[in-house]
Amino acid sequence: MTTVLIADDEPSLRLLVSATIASDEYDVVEAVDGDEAWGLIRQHRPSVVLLDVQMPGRTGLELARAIRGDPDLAKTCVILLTSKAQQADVQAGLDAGADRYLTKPFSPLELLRVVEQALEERPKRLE
Amino acid sequence: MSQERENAQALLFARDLAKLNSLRRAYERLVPAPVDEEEPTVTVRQATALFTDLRHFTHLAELFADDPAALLGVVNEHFAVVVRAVTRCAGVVEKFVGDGLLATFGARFEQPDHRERALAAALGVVGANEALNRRRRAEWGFRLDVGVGAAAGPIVVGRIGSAQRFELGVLGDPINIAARLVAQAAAGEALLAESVYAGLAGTVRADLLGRSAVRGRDGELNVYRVAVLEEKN
Repeated sequence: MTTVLIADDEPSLRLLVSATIASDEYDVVEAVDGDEAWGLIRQHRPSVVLLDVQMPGRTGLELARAIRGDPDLAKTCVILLTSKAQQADVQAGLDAGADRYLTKPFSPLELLRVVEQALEERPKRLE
Repeated sequence: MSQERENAQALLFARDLAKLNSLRRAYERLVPAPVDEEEPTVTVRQATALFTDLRHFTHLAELFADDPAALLGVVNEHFAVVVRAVTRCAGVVEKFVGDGLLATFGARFEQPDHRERALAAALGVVGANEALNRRRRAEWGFRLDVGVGAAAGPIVVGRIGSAQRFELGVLGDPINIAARLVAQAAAGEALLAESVYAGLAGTVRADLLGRSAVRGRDGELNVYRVAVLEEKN
């Protein structure tokens, strides 16, 4: 079972991710802020994390740096969720170790594509 | 009563209780929500109704004309992902209608964010169905396409039927509108009545299809189209 964590303070976005991805293959864990997300990331060691750039507690950028700084989480793919107004944060996020980003609002198709790409590229990143 | 007889009685009681619990679990899978009241009350709430429906199902049934059991398996795989998407958003699956289903948000219990939940479920249903297509397309050799319709307003929950045979069902204008909208929705589309979209403006990209007459209703209403499977440029 592949675990995907979504951390965003917007309930509707968490619902959308959960409703689209949860399946027999994907377990979805939800966090309402960055601090809860960090606890759940350490607990579940998800394969993919979707992190809102700006959320209460630790930000998505702070979490991306923390994940890349933790050898136990080396296999975790990091996808940042940004709004158009936060495009300046995208490069900072990629520099912080994020693998990809999605601009909100995104369609379920974009979500599926980005998650699948991140999982496909994960072995390459570990080489 | 002898100890032996008491033990036998207790054993019988435990077996009956286990049987009753087993029946209750089976029953709870067949009805929308656990019913504890002997005489359910009639309750009207502001809620959202959501219908899903497979597109091109007649063609699909033709493909499986010689093997309807396999068709049932495919449809149930689809329903598995649809039900999961609905329940993840705290919706209640009211009934299966052929190759589609009716779900409600906020009808059976208070859900102030019923519109948001229904919208997430609508997008999630199409997205999860797409994920199913990706997992199974090589084996199937065909794809399943789904459309969704949703409308909000007062919905009544109550006993529908006669004293001899009834169900704890839902009725209301939003259910009829959602049923009409899903019939118009193309593959990968969610059609939202203004009653849903008005509470969500800004959270979803939707095109106004214009004022539309819904068959069987006198009034017209604004209908919004969310092309769930289209990527933005």
